Amino acid sequence: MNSGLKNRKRITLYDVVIILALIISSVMMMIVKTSDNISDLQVEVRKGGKTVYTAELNDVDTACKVCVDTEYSIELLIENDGVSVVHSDCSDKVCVNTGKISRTGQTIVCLPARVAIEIKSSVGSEKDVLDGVVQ
Amino acid sequence: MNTTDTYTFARTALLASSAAVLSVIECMLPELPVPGARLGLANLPVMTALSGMGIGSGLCVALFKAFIALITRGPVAGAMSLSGSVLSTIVMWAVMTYDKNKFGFVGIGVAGAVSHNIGQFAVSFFMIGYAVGFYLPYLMIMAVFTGTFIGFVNSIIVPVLFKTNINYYRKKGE
Repeated sequence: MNSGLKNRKRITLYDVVIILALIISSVMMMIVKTSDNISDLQVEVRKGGKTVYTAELNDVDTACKVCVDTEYSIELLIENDGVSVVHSDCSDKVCVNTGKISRTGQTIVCLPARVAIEIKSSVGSEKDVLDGVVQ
Repeated sequence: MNTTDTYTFARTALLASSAAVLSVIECMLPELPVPGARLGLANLPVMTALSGMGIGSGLCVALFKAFIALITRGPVAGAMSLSGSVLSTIVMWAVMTYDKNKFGFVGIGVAGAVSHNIGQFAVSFFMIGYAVGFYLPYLMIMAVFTGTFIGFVNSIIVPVLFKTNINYYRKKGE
């Protein structure tokens, strides 16, 4: 009723400022998040915060399938250059549609199963160990 | 209850049911390039109700939409829809009333779409952990485009829908 219905314009200068600010901030977040590290890759599968499976991608000679979750039967295809989900019992299939991830920081998420599959660099994982030190 | 209340009630109900239908239609549409991203068509009636009838009406539509997601797509989708749509309703209302007519329909739509994503991210952070943060910038860029679309459509719908009230019809002799 009283939300400025009568004179509201379709698009104003402030709208353009919001849009540009959002696009710039998300592009910056993308640059920070992904790096082009393609060696020493490690795949880590977490379910509800707990790590349930890890593998070094460099050690993989031939593509292999791994079933990582008993509750939802998520089947991973681990290759030398990336990881993809080939089958999942979940309802939305977002994880399967994500396709193959191959760079550090990329993640496949299966929300119904509460599973996250993330690619990390093996060098970076030592830093994570230090992060766990509590005084 | 006077006639204005009855009309608000009826319109809120109509918009809520169209939100339910739109969310079903949206599931049938092909996937957007970013996994998990959706067009946010169901946000359209929420914004229409909000800009025409205020926050009470908007929240009713948002809650009904979350309830439909809960019973058709399960508790995970329900929780995501609830947090996303409640946050986006509040943010859209704040943007709408902040300084009248400073923001246009497109700005409100973008603010609603981005805050919908952020509300859903709060739930998925809680469920999975920080790993989902990887998707946030991609979803935000998608939200800018879908929000612009929603705002554009609403700039056509809202003036048409809320120019018509009971007096309008009476003057026309209906």
